[in-house]
Amino acid sequence: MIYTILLAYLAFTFLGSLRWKSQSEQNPESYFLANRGLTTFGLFFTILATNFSAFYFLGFAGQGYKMGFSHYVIMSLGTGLAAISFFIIGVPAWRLGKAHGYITASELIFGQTRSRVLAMTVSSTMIVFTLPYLALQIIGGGYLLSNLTDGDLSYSLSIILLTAFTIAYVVIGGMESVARTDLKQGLLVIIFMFLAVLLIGQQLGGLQTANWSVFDHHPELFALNGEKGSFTASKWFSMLVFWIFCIPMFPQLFSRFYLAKTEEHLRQSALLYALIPLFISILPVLIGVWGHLSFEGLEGKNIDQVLPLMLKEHTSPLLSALVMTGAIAAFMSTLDSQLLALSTMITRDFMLPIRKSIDLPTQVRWGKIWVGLLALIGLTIGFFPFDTIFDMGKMAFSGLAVLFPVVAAVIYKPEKINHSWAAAGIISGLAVIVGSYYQFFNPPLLNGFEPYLPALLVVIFFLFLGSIINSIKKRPA
Amino acid sequence: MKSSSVWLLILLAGMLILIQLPFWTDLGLNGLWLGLPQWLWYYVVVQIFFVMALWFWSRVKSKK
Repeated sequence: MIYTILLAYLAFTFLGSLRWKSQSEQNPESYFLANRGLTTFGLFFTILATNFSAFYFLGFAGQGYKMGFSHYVIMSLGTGLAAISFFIIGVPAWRLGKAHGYITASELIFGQTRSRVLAMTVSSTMIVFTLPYLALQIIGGGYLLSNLTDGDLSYSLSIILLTAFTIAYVVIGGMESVARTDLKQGLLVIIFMFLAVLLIGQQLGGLQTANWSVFDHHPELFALNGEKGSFTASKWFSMLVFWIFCIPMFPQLFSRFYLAKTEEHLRQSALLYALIPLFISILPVLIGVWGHLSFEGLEGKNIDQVLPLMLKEHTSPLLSALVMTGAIAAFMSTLDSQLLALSTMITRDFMLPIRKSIDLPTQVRWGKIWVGLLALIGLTIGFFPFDTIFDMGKMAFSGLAVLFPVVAAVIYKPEKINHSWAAAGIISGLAVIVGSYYQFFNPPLLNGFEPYLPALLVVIFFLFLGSIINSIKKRPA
Repeated sequence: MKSSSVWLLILLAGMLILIQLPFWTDLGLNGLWLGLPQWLWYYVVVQIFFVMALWFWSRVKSKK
Protein backbone atom coordinates (compact mmCIF):
# COMPACT_ATOMS: atom_id res chain seq x y z
CA MET A 1 0.00 0.00 0.00
CA ILE A 2 2.85 2.37 0.88
CA TYR A 3 4.30 2.17 -2.63
CA THR A 4 0.87 2.75 -4.22
CA ILE A 5 0.35 5.91 -2.13
CA LEU A 6 3.85 7.11 -2.91
CA LEU A 7 3.50 6.61 -6.64
CA ALA A 8 -0.06 7.98 -6.80
CA TYR A 9 0.93 11.10 -4.84
CA LEU A 10 3.99 11.81 -6.96
CA ALA A 11 1.99 11.21 -10.15
CA PHE A 12 -0.74 13.62 -9.01
CA THR A 13 1.45 16.44 -7.75
CA PHE A 14 4.38 16.25 -10.13
CA LEU A 15 3.47 14.48 -13.34
CA GLY A 16 -0.02 16.04 -13.34
CA SER A 17 1.62 19.48 -13.36
CA LEU A 18 4.22 18.74 -15.98
CA ARG A 19 4.10 21.02 -18.99
CA TRP A 20 6.15 19.58 -21.81
CA LYS A 21 7.41 22.28 -24.13
CA SER A 22 8.96 21.88 -27.50
CA GLN A 23 12.47 23.18 -28.03
CA SER A 24 11.16 26.17 -29.97
CA GLU A 25 8.86 27.23 -27.11
CA GLN A 26 11.70 27.21 -24.61
CA ASN A 27 13.48 30.45 -23.84
CA PRO A 28 15.00 31.69 -20.57
CA GLU A 29 11.93 33.83 -19.65
CA SER A 30 9.62 30.84 -20.00
CA TYR A 31 11.93 28.09 -18.67
CA PHE A 32 13.33 30.05 -15.70
CA LEU A 33 10.53 32.55 -14.90
CA ALA A 34 7.23 31.09 -16.19
CA ASN A 35 6.92 34.20 -18.43
CA ARG A 36 6.56 36.52 -15.37
CA GLY A 37 2.88 35.73 -15.25
CA LEU A 38 1.95 34.53 -11.74
CA THR A 39 -0.99 36.09 -9.92
CA THR A 40 -1.49 36.35 -6.13
CA PHE A 41 -2.37 32.78 -5.14
CA GLY A 42 -0.06 31.06 -7.62
CA LEU A 43 2.77 33.32 -6.48
CA PHE A 44 2.00 32.92 -2.78
CA PHE A 45 1.79 29.14 -2.95
CA THR A 46 4.96 28.81 -4.99
CA ILE A 47 6.73 30.93 -2.34
CA LEU A 48 5.14 28.93 0.48
CA ALA A 49 5.86 25.53 -1.08
CA THR A 50 9.44 26.61 -1.67
CA ASN A 51 9.64 27.25 2.08
CA PHE A 52 7.96 23.94 2.96
CA SER A 53 11.22 22.15 3.15
CA ALA A 54 12.90 19.55 5.32
CA PHE A 55 13.62 22.52 7.57
CA TYR A 56 9.86 23.01 8.14
CA PHE A 57 8.83 19.39 8.65
CA LEU A 58 11.77 17.74 10.36
CA GLY A 59 13.66 20.80 11.59
CA PHE A 60 10.66 22.53 13.25
CA ALA A 61 9.50 19.29 14.89
CA GLY A 62 13.05 18.55 16.07
CA GLN A 63 13.45 22.05 17.51
CA GLY A 64 9.98 21.85 19.10
CA TYR A 65 11.20 18.68 20.81
CA LYS A 66 14.42 20.34 21.91
CA MET A 67 13.45 23.98 22.59
CA GLY A 68 9.67 23.90 23.06
CA PHE A 69 7.15 26.57 22.08
CA SER A 70 9.70 29.39 21.79
CA HIS A 71 10.58 27.87 18.44
CA TYR A 72 7.02 28.42 17.21
CA VAL A 73 7.22 32.19 17.84
CA ILE A 74 10.65 32.42 16.27
CA MET A 75 9.42 30.77 13.09
CA SER A 76 5.92 32.20 12.91
CA LEU A 77 6.56 35.84 13.84
CA GLY A 78 10.07 35.70 12.40
CA THR A 79 8.93 34.61 8.93
CA GLY A 80 5.96 36.96 9.21
CA LEU A 81 8.32 39.89 9.76
CA ALA A 82 10.21 38.83 6.63
CA ALA A 83 7.22 40.11 4.63
CA ILE A 84 8.71 43.58 5.19
CA SER A 85 11.58 42.50 2.98
CA PHE A 86 9.16 41.71 0.18
CA PHE A 87 8.33 45.41 0.17
CA ILE A 88 11.88 46.68 0.75
CA ILE A 89 13.68 44.33 -1.66
CA GLY A 90 11.01 42.37 -3.57
CA VAL A 91 8.90 45.18 -5.04
CA PRO A 92 11.82 47.29 -6.33
CA ALA A 93 13.53 44.12 -7.61
CA TRP A 94 10.33 43.23 -9.49
CA ARG A 95 10.20 46.73 -11.05
CA LEU A 96 13.84 46.62 -12.11
CA GLY A 97 13.49 43.01 -13.34
CA LYS A 98 10.49 43.86 -15.49
CA ALA A 99 12.06 47.02 -16.89
CA HIS A 100 15.42 45.46 -17.77
CA GLY A 101 14.56 41.76 -18.23
CA TYR A 102 16.61 40.52 -15.27
CA ILE A 103 16.34 36.82 -14.47
CA THR A 104 18.83 36.44 -11.61
CA ALA A 105 19.77 38.55 -8.57
CA SER A 106 23.24 38.98 -9.96
CA GLU A 107 21.92 40.49 -13.21
CA LEU A 108 20.21 43.14 -11.11
CA ILE A 109 23.48 43.84 -9.27
CA PHE A 110 25.40 44.14 -12.53
CA GLY A 111 22.68 46.21 -14.18
CA GLN A 112 22.67 48.71 -11.32
CA THR A 113 26.41 48.92 -10.68
CA ARG A 114 28.13 47.65 -13.89
CA SER A 115 30.48 45.76 -11.58
CA ARG A 116 31.10 42.18 -12.67
CA VAL A 117 33.18 41.50 -9.54
CA LEU A 118 30.38 42.50 -7.18
CA ALA A 119 27.74 40.63 -9.22
CA MET A 120 29.82 37.45 -9.22
CA THR A 121 30.58 37.76 -5.49
CA VAL A 122 26.86 37.94 -4.73
CA SER A 123 26.08 35.08 -7.11
CA SER A 124 28.89 32.84 -5.76
CA THR A 125 27.75 33.43 -2.16
CA MET A 126 24.18 32.55 -3.05
CA ILE A 127 25.28 29.36 -4.80
CA VAL A 128 27.76 28.15 -2.14
CA PHE A 129 25.48 28.85 0.84
CA THR A 130 22.41 27.38 -0.82
CA LEU A 131 24.14 24.05 -1.38
CA PRO A 132 23.85 22.87 2.27
CA TYR A 133 20.19 23.99 2.24
CA LEU A 134 19.68 22.07 -1.00
CA ALA A 135 21.32 19.01 0.55
CA LEU A 136 18.89 19.25 3.49
CA GLN A 137 16.01 18.38 1.17
CA ILE A 138 17.83 15.29 -0.03
CA ILE A 139 18.77 14.26 3.52
CA GLY A 140 15.23 14.84 4.86
CA GLY A 141 13.67 13.01 1.91
CA GLY A 142 16.06 10.10 2.48
CA TYR A 143 15.17 9.84 6.18
CA LEU A 144 11.47 9.85 5.43
CA LEU A 145 11.46 7.52 2.43
CA SER A 146 13.58 4.98 4.26
CA ASN A 147 11.32 5.30 7.32
CA LEU A 148 8.16 5.10 5.22
CA THR A 149 9.25 1.84 3.59
CA ASP A 150 10.40 0.37 6.94
CA GLY A 151 13.95 0.24 5.65
CA ASP A 152 13.07 -1.67 2.43
CA LEU A 153 14.72 1.25 0.68
CA SER A 154 17.93 2.12 2.48
CA TYR A 155 18.76 5.79 3.20
CA SER A 156 21.39 5.77 0.42
CA LEU A 157 19.05 4.29 -2.18
CA SER A 158 16.27 6.66 -1.09
CA ILE A 159 18.35 9.79 -1.63
CA ILE A 160 19.55 8.53 -5.02
CA LEU A 161 15.98 7.81 -6.21
CA LEU A 162 14.60 11.14 -4.98
CA THR A 163 17.44 13.12 -6.54
CA ALA A 164 17.09 11.32 -9.88
CA PHE A 165 13.33 11.96 -9.99
CA THR A 166 13.79 15.66 -9.20
CA ILE A 167 16.50 16.13 -11.83
CA ALA A 168 14.26 14.56 -14.48
CA TYR A 169 11.31 16.71 -13.42
CA VAL A 170 13.16 20.03 -13.50
CA VAL A 171 14.90 19.25 -16.77
CA ILE A 172 11.64 18.45 -18.51
CA GLY A 173 9.32 20.97 -16.88
CA GLY A 174 11.14 24.20 -15.99
CA MET A 175 9.61 26.91 -13.80
CA GLU A 176 6.04 26.69 -15.12
CA SER A 177 5.73 23.04 -14.06
CA VAL A 178 7.53 23.76 -10.78
CA ALA A 179 5.08 26.56 -9.92
CA ARG A 180 2.05 24.40 -10.81
CA THR A 181 3.36 21.63 -8.54
CA ASP A 182 3.89 24.13 -5.74
CA LEU A 183 0.24 25.20 -5.71
CA LYS A 184 -1.06 21.61 -5.25
CA GLN A 185 1.78 20.80 -2.94
CA GLY A 186 1.19 23.76 -0.62
CA LEU A 187 -2.51 23.00 -0.21
CA LEU A 188 -2.05 19.25 0.33
CA VAL A 189 0.71 19.66 2.88
CA ILE A 190 -1.32 22.11 4.98
CA ILE A 191 -4.33 19.76 4.99
CA PHE A 192 -2.26 16.67 5.90
CA MET A 193 -0.35 18.42 8.67
CA PHE A 194 -3.58 19.70 10.25
CA LEU A 195 -4.97 16.15 10.10
CA ALA A 196 -1.81 14.70 11.65
CA VAL A 197 -1.92 17.17 14.59
CA LEU A 198 -5.61 16.47 15.20
CA LEU A 199 -5.18 12.68 15.13
CA ILE A 200 -1.99 12.57 17.19
CA GLY A 201 -3.55 15.01 19.69
CA GLN A 202 -6.66 12.83 19.91
CA GLN A 203 -4.52 9.74 20.57
CA LEU A 204 -2.79 11.60 23.40
CA GLY A 205 -6.11 12.57 25.04
CA GLY A 206 -6.82 15.86 23.27
CA LEU A 207 -4.68 18.90 22.47
CA GLN A 208 -4.92 20.51 25.92
CA THR A 209 -4.42 17.23 27.84
CA ALA A 210 -1.38 16.37 25.73
CA ASN A 211 0.15 19.78 26.43
CA TRP A 212 -0.58 19.57 30.17
CA SER A 213 1.03 16.11 30.27
CA VAL A 214 4.21 17.46 28.69
CA PHE A 215 4.08 20.54 30.96
CA ASP A 216 4.04 18.32 34.08
CA HIS A 217 7.35 16.71 33.11
CA HIS A 218 9.01 19.42 30.98
CA PRO A 219 7.82 22.90 32.05
CA GLU A 220 10.96 24.36 30.45
CA LEU A 221 9.46 23.62 26.99
CA PHE A 222 6.69 26.12 27.84
CA ALA A 223 9.05 28.86 29.06
CA LEU A 224 9.65 32.00 27.02
CA ASN A 225 13.39 31.68 27.49
CA GLY A 226 13.41 28.03 26.45
CA GLU A 227 15.33 25.09 27.79
CA LYS A 228 17.85 26.05 30.52
CA GLY A 229 17.11 29.75 29.83
CA SER A 230 18.97 29.50 26.52
CA PHE A 231 16.78 32.14 24.84
CA THR A 232 18.16 35.34 26.33
CA ALA A 233 16.77 38.71 25.19
CA SER A 234 19.64 39.10 22.70
CA LYS A 235 19.22 35.58 21.30
CA TRP A 236 15.46 36.12 21.00
CA PHE A 237 16.01 39.39 19.14
CA SER A 238 18.61 37.78 16.85
CA MET A 239 16.42 34.83 15.93
CA LEU A 240 13.27 36.85 15.26
CA VAL A 241 14.94 39.46 13.09
CA PHE A 242 17.06 36.85 11.29
CA TRP A 243 14.43 36.00 8.67
CA ILE A 244 14.04 39.60 7.49
CA PHE A 245 17.60 39.43 6.17
CA CYS A 246 17.95 35.86 4.97
CA ILE A 247 14.62 34.91 3.37
CA PRO A 248 14.78 37.42 0.48
CA MET A 249 18.36 36.29 -0.21
CA PHE A 250 17.38 32.66 -0.88
CA PRO A 251 18.06 32.48 -4.64
CA GLN A 252 14.92 30.41 -5.22
CA LEU A 253 12.91 33.09 -3.41
CA PHE A 254 14.61 36.09 -4.98
CA SER A 255 13.79 34.68 -8.43
CA ARG A 256 10.14 34.45 -7.33
CA PHE A 257 10.02 38.23 -6.93
CA TYR A 258 10.41 38.40 -10.71
CA LEU A 259 7.56 35.94 -11.33
CA ALA A 260 4.73 38.29 -10.30
CA LYS A 261 2.45 39.44 -13.08
CA THR A 262 1.96 42.86 -11.47
CA GLU A 263 3.33 44.72 -8.47
CA GLU A 264 -0.06 44.40 -6.75
CA HIS A 265 0.11 40.59 -6.95
CA LEU A 266 3.50 40.67 -5.24
CA ARG A 267 2.21 42.96 -2.46
CA GLN A 268 -0.79 40.72 -1.82
CA SER A 269 1.43 37.63 -1.70
CA ALA A 270 3.64 39.42 0.84
CA LEU A 271 0.64 40.05 3.11
CA LEU A 272 -0.39 36.40 2.91
CA TYR A 273 3.20 35.46 3.67
CA ALA A 274 3.04 37.57 6.86
CA LEU A 275 -0.18 35.91 8.01
CA ILE A 276 -0.08 32.21 7.10
CA PRO A 277 2.97 31.15 9.22
CA LEU A 278 0.84 31.99 12.27
CA PHE A 279 -1.32 28.93 11.53
CA ILE A 280 1.08 26.47 9.97
CA SER A 281 4.25 26.87 12.06
CA ILE A 282 2.55 25.54 15.18
CA LEU A 283 1.78 22.15 13.59
CA PRO A 284 5.24 20.50 13.48
CA VAL A 285 6.26 22.25 16.73
CA LEU A 286 3.27 20.72 18.56
CA ILE A 287 4.14 17.26 17.29
CA GLY A 288 7.76 17.82 18.35
CA VAL A 289 6.75 18.92 21.88
CA TRP A 290 4.42 15.93 22.21
CA GLY A 291 7.31 13.71 21.16
CA HIS A 292 8.38 13.73 24.83
CA LEU A 293 5.27 11.71 25.71
CA SER A 294 6.31 8.81 23.48
CA PHE A 295 10.04 9.11 22.80
CA GLU A 296 12.08 10.46 25.70
CA GLY A 297 15.79 11.05 25.37
CA LEU A 298 16.26 11.80 21.66
CA GLU A 299 19.49 13.75 21.18
CA GLY A 300 21.72 15.20 18.45
CA LYS A 301 20.69 14.35 14.88
CA ASN A 302 18.05 11.91 16.21
CA ILE A 303 15.75 14.81 17.10
CA ASP A 304 15.15 15.19 13.34
CA GLN A 305 13.36 11.83 13.43
CA VAL A 306 10.69 12.86 15.94
CA LEU A 307 8.03 13.68 13.31
CA PRO A 308 8.15 10.34 11.44
CA LEU A 309 8.38 8.47 14.75
CA MET A 310 5.27 10.21 16.11
CA LEU A 311 3.34 9.66 12.89
CA LYS A 312 4.09 5.95 12.91
CA GLU A 313 3.30 5.61 16.60
CA HIS A 314 0.05 7.56 16.72
CA THR A 315 -1.65 7.61 13.32
CA SER A 316 -3.00 4.96 10.96
CA PRO A 317 -0.58 3.57 8.38
CA LEU A 318 -2.62 5.35 5.69
CA LEU A 319 -2.37 8.86 7.20
CA SER A 320 1.21 8.28 8.26
CA ALA A 321 2.06 7.32 4.67
CA LEU A 322 0.15 10.30 3.25
CA VAL A 323 1.83 12.86 5.54
CA MET A 324 5.28 11.41 4.97
CA THR A 325 4.75 11.20 1.22
CA GLY A 326 3.48 14.80 1.30
CA ALA A 327 6.60 15.81 3.18
CA ILE A 328 8.83 13.98 0.70
CA ALA A 329 7.08 15.70 -2.18
CA ALA A 330 7.49 19.03 -0.31
CA PHE A 331 11.23 18.46 -0.05
CA MET A 332 11.34 17.69 -3.75
CA SER A 333 9.42 20.82 -4.62
CA THR A 334 11.92 22.90 -2.61
CA LEU A 335 14.78 21.01 -4.21
CA ASP A 336 13.47 21.56 -7.74
CA SER A 337 13.15 25.32 -7.12
CA GLN A 338 16.68 25.48 -5.71
CA LEU A 339 18.14 23.49 -8.58
CA LEU A 340 16.39 25.70 -11.10
CA ALA A 341 17.48 28.93 -9.37
CA LEU A 342 21.12 27.86 -8.98
CA SER A 343 21.45 26.44 -12.48
CA THR A 344 20.00 29.68 -13.87
CA MET A 345 22.58 31.66 -11.92
CA ILE A 346 25.53 29.59 -13.06
CA THR A 347 24.40 29.70 -16.69
CA ARG A 348 23.58 33.40 -16.83
CA ASP A 349 25.95 34.91 -14.24
CA PHE A 350 29.10 32.93 -15.01
CA MET A 351 28.80 31.44 -18.51
CA LEU A 352 27.17 34.32 -20.39
CA PRO A 353 29.78 36.95 -19.44
CA ILE A 354 32.51 34.59 -20.71
CA ARG A 355 30.76 33.31 -23.86
CA LYS A 356 28.40 36.04 -25.00
CA SER A 357 27.56 34.14 -28.18
CA ILE A 358 25.47 31.49 -26.38
CA ASP A 359 22.00 31.61 -27.91
CA LEU A 360 18.81 31.27 -25.85
CA PRO A 361 18.06 27.54 -26.45
CA THR A 362 21.71 26.76 -25.62
CA GLN A 363 21.35 28.68 -22.32
CA VAL A 364 18.38 26.47 -21.45
CA ARG A 365 20.37 23.35 -22.38
CA TRP A 366 23.29 24.43 -20.19
CA GLY A 367 20.85 25.20 -17.38
CA LYS A 368 19.66 21.60 -17.55
CA ILE A 369 23.21 20.23 -17.41
CA TRP A 370 23.88 22.34 -14.30
CA VAL A 371 20.69 21.04 -12.69
CA GLY A 372 22.21 17.53 -12.86
CA LEU A 373 25.63 18.60 -11.61
CA LEU A 374 24.26 20.63 -8.68
CA ALA A 375 21.99 17.76 -7.68
CA LEU A 376 25.04 15.49 -7.60
CA ILE A 377 26.84 17.90 -5.25
CA GLY A 378 23.75 17.94 -3.01
CA LEU A 379 23.64 14.15 -3.13
CA THR A 380 27.29 13.95 -2.06
CA ILE A 381 26.57 16.18 0.97
CA GLY A 382 23.51 13.98 1.59
CA PHE A 383 25.77 10.95 1.99
CA PHE A 384 27.80 12.78 4.66
CA PRO A 385 25.51 15.19 6.59
CA PHE A 386 27.69 17.36 8.83
CA ASP A 387 25.13 18.58 11.39
CA THR A 388 21.44 18.47 12.39
CA ILE A 389 18.97 19.70 9.79
CA PHE A 390 18.25 22.86 11.80
CA ASP A 391 21.91 23.77 12.36
CA MET A 392 22.94 23.07 8.76
CA GLY A 393 20.06 25.30 7.67
CA LYS A 394 20.95 28.06 10.12
CA MET A 395 24.55 28.18 8.94
CA ALA A 396 23.46 28.34 5.28
CA PHE A 397 20.86 31.04 6.00
CA SER A 398 23.38 33.15 7.97
CA GLY A 399 25.70 33.18 4.96
CA LEU A 400 22.87 34.34 2.72
CA ALA A 401 21.78 37.05 5.22
CA VAL A 402 25.20 38.69 4.82
CA LEU A 403 24.17 39.74 1.29
CA PHE A 404 21.17 41.79 2.43
CA PRO A 405 22.89 45.16 3.07
CA VAL A 406 24.70 45.03 -0.28
CA VAL A 407 21.58 44.11 -2.27
CA ALA A 408 19.57 46.83 -0.47
CA ALA A 409 22.33 49.39 -1.17
CA VAL A 410 22.45 48.32 -4.84
CA ILE A 411 18.71 48.84 -5.18
CA TYR A 412 18.49 52.20 -3.38
CA LYS A 413 21.89 53.90 -3.67
CA PRO A 414 23.88 52.20 -6.45
CA GLU A 415 25.88 55.36 -7.17
CA LYS A 416 27.28 55.45 -3.61
CA ILE A 417 28.67 51.91 -3.66
CA ASN A 418 32.38 51.27 -3.91
CA HIS A 419 32.32 47.90 -5.66
CA SER A 420 35.58 46.50 -4.32
CA TRP A 421 34.77 47.48 -0.73
CA ALA A 422 31.28 46.01 -1.03
CA ALA A 423 32.70 42.69 -2.28
CA ALA A 424 35.33 42.77 0.49
CA GLY A 425 32.54 43.43 3.00
CA ILE A 426 30.66 40.31 1.84
CA ILE A 427 33.77 38.16 2.11
CA SER A 428 34.57 39.54 5.59
CA GLY A 429 30.97 38.96 6.73
CA LEU A 430 31.14 35.38 5.51
CA ALA A 431 34.43 34.92 7.37
CA VAL A 432 32.60 35.90 10.59
CA ILE A 433 29.84 33.35 9.87
CA VAL A 434 32.16 30.47 9.01
CA GLY A 435 34.58 31.37 11.82
CA SER A 436 31.86 31.32 14.45
CA TYR A 437 30.30 28.12 13.05
CA TYR A 438 33.63 26.32 13.44
CA GLN A 439 34.16 28.17 16.75
CA PHE A 440 37.32 30.01 15.75
CA PHE A 441 35.85 32.98 17.64
CA ASN A 442 35.11 33.08 21.32
CA PRO A 443 31.27 32.99 21.65
CA PRO A 444 31.18 35.57 24.52
CA LEU A 445 32.49 38.11 22.00
CA LEU A 446 29.08 37.91 20.34
CA ASN A 447 27.45 38.98 23.62
CA GLY A 448 24.59 36.49 23.17
CA PHE A 449 23.71 37.65 19.65
CA GLU A 450 23.69 35.25 16.72
CA PRO A 451 26.83 35.51 14.55
CA TYR A 452 24.95 36.90 11.54
CA LEU A 453 24.36 40.22 13.38
CA PRO A 454 28.05 41.11 13.84
CA ALA A 455 28.56 39.82 10.27
CA LEU A 456 25.92 42.29 9.01
CA LEU A 457 27.61 45.10 10.95
CA VAL A 458 30.92 44.22 9.27
CA VAL A 459 29.29 44.42 5.81
CA ILE A 460 27.60 47.75 6.63
CA PHE A 461 30.93 49.11 7.92
CA PHE A 462 32.63 48.16 4.63
CA LEU A 463 29.81 49.73 2.58
CA PHE A 464 30.09 52.91 4.65
CA LEU A 465 33.88 53.09 4.27
CA GLY A 466 33.56 52.45 0.53
CA SER A 467 31.07 55.30 0.10
CA ILE A 468 33.39 57.68 1.98
CA ILE A 469 36.29 56.68 -0.28
CA ASN A 470 34.05 57.23 -3.33
CA SER A 471 33.08 60.72 -2.21
CA ILE A 472 36.74 61.64 -1.51
CA LYS A 473 37.73 60.42 -5.00
CA LYS A 474 34.92 62.43 -6.64
CA ARG A 475 35.83 65.64 -4.78
CA PRO A 476 37.52 68.11 -7.16
CA ALA A 477 41.19 68.62 -6.42
CA MET B 1 13.52 59.34 2.33
CA LYS B 2 9.88 58.93 1.25
CA SER B 3 7.23 59.25 3.96
CA SER B 4 5.93 55.72 3.20
CA SER B 5 9.39 54.30 3.93
CA VAL B 6 9.50 56.26 7.20
CA TRP B 7 6.17 54.71 8.24
CA LEU B 8 7.50 51.25 7.39
CA LEU B 9 10.56 51.87 9.55
CA ILE B 10 8.33 53.12 12.39
CA LEU B 11 6.27 49.91 12.11
CA LEU B 12 9.43 47.80 12.23
CA ALA B 13 10.75 49.71 15.26
CA GLY B 14 7.40 49.28 17.02
CA MET B 15 7.48 45.57 16.29
CA LEU B 16 10.98 45.26 17.74
CA ILE B 17 9.80 46.93 20.96
CA LEU B 18 6.75 44.61 21.18
CA ILE B 19 8.96 41.58 20.55
CA GLN B 20 11.35 42.46 23.37
CA LEU B 21 8.72 43.73 25.83
CA PRO B 22 8.18 40.41 27.71
CA PHE B 23 11.94 40.32 28.37
CA TRP B 24 12.06 43.86 29.72
CA THR B 25 9.05 43.75 32.02
CA ASP B 26 6.87 41.13 33.67
CA LEU B 27 3.59 41.13 31.76
CA GLY B 28 2.18 38.42 34.03
CA LEU B 29 1.98 35.92 31.17
CA ASN B 30 3.25 32.94 33.11
CA GLY B 31 0.41 30.41 32.97
CA LEU B 32 -1.15 28.32 30.21
CA TRP B 33 -4.26 29.21 28.25
CA LEU B 34 -5.95 26.53 26.12
CA GLY B 35 -2.94 24.35 26.83
CA LEU B 36 -0.49 26.84 25.35
CA PRO B 37 1.76 29.35 27.17
CA GLN B 38 0.14 32.75 27.70
CA TRP B 39 3.20 34.54 26.32
CA LEU B 40 2.69 32.59 23.07
CA TRP B 41 -0.79 34.13 22.73
CA TYR B 42 0.77 37.57 23.29
CA TYR B 43 2.99 36.98 20.25
CA VAL B 44 0.02 35.72 18.22
CA VAL B 45 -1.75 39.05 18.89
CA VAL B 46 1.44 40.96 18.03
CA GLN B 47 1.68 39.14 14.69
CA ILE B 48 -1.96 39.81 13.83
CA PHE B 49 -1.40 43.49 14.64
CA PHE B 50 1.67 43.45 12.37
CA VAL B 51 -0.25 41.94 9.43
CA MET B 52 -3.06 44.48 9.81
CA ALA B 53 -0.61 47.40 10.02
CA LEU B 54 1.28 46.15 6.97
CA TRP B 55 -1.96 45.67 5.04
CA PHE B 56 -3.05 49.25 5.93
CA TRP B 57 0.34 50.65 4.95
CA SER B 58 0.30 48.75 1.66
CA ARG B 59 -3.23 49.98 0.83
CA VAL B 60 -2.36 53.61 1.53
CA LYS B 61 0.85 53.31 -0.49
CA SER B 62 -0.83 51.72 -3.51
CA LYS B 63 -3.57 54.40 -3.55
CA LYS B 64 -1.01 57.23 -3.66
